[in-house]
Amino acid sequence: MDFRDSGGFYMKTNNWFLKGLTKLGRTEKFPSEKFEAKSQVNEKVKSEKFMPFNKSLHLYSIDSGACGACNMELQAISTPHYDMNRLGLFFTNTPRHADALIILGVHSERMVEVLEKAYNAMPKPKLIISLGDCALSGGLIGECPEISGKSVVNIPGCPPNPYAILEGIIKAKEVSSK
Amino acid sequence: MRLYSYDGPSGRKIGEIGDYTLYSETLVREKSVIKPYVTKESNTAFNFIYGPSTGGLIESTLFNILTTGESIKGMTSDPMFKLRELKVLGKNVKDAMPIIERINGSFTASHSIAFLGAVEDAMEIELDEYILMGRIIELELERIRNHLHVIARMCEAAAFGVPYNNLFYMREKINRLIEEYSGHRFFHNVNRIGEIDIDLIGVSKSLENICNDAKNTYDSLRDSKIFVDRLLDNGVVKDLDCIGPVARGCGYPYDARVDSTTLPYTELGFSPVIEKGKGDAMDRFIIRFEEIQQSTEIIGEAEKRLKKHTTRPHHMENEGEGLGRVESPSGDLTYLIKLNEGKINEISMLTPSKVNLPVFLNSTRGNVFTDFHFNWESFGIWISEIAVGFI
Ligand code: SF4
Repeated sequence: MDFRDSGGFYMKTNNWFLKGLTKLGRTEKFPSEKFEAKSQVNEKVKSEKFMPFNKSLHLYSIDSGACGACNMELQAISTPHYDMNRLGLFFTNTPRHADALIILGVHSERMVEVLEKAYNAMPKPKLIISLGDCALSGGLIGECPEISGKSVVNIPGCPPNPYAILEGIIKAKEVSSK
Repeated sequence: MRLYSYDGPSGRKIGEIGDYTLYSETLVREKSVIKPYVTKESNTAFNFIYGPSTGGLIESTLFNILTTGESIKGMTSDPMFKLRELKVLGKNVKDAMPIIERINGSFTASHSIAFLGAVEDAMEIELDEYILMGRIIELELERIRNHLHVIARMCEAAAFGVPYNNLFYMREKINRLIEEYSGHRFFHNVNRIGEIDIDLIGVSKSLENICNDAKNTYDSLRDSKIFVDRLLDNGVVKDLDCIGPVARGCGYPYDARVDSTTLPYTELGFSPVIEKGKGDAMDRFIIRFEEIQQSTEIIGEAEKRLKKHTTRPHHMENEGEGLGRVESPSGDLTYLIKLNEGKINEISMLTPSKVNLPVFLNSTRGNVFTDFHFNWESFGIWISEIAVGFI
């Protein structure tokens, strides 16, 4: 494409923005055929509540005592290979705008209050998802945060890969809306 | 301990490790004095608390910012909210290894290789070239991934969606490459005493495209006045006590790859990249991109020397003291351990994040609020390796 055409409109052909847009990596199709879903629904929590999240789901994550790998894999779902937004999933920067609280890492004394305050600040209806072995059982490191017992869905793995995370979040959205 | 001795200061100062201060040649029995952070009194200043939980930070940590509204007068931090106490004392090395791998997920290779370096030093194990070159390749792959991550986070702070997505696309390709060669995206279960379980032949070929894409993104970002303006004069470091890319961005050639002999980097023609600028976020950005290119070259050279694996070392001491040092993506990472009957009796660790955190806090003085994220990300600090203790 020559940017000098089109009615005198001129733009440098080496413009990084356009180059980036045209060369940017493509989002992949969800690999359903070879994907083994591992997330577990917490039936007890699920049957207690009805939470209509039919369309989008806004996520707020808290690191209670993670090594950083779960944090990186969660963040990866927003990147081009995975593109969470196409599935109606969005990160928010405050619990006040969040539908789901995602917990990463093991129990740590000083994060207990932080987790509770964030959960209380979320508008209803709201749900919790535990991500990674540390958050759902303590894994190899310690104990899990107490609040993760309220999780609708647990996503195991150390760390779970971005597809496993997407699958778990979508499952949480679906089971909560039924 | 074969490579270090307890003595007076010799070489460059690296930082505190247990009851000692580590210099590049010796261990000195003294506590490293961390300079108190003094802020000037200001009548109109107030404290702004940022954290411990916020969407802008990847990990939980708290910053207490003294400000008059826009400019930052001073800053302190409390990184210990997510403190983890890891049970490794009394464990044998094999059982402790999975825990060490989970200290800092993004630096798993660095932590496990530095830890094993200390164990192998204590056990007086000699490593063959395959293991040495394999470990160098692991460390350099981890460095490339981390630098892509750090620069992408800086682009995110500037709301530069295109390079942000491009860089994270490349980071994901590196993750998949690591998985393809090692079986795990974060190098879990790859490194063992006197061994590595990974076949890295062919890895440098797979890296070529990623490296070229990174170069194009670098050129584009350097052409962008908007981006460059956010980094210039932001977070100027004048502190000699810094390590890693932060130090190299100030013109100091501090690098464990040249002054630690655990891994033979110098035989591969390695010398550190330095930037003789102001020591600001721009210099750290340049260093990281240049190190991506350099790491790709190192991997190519190391791969040429990967010869088929020889046998496991048969001589192993059960007792002893050892020190292992590597250059992690953020700087010197060191373990000092004592083994007793093959079990860990004492262990202490020096991490770049802990050394560089006070340097970051000092560098924020005089900046404005909107500078914060660029500067923070440019340091590549991981709280997971600060808020951690051994029991
Ligand atoms: S589950 Fe594994 S990857 Fe996730 S925080 Fe825990 S140790 Fe790290």
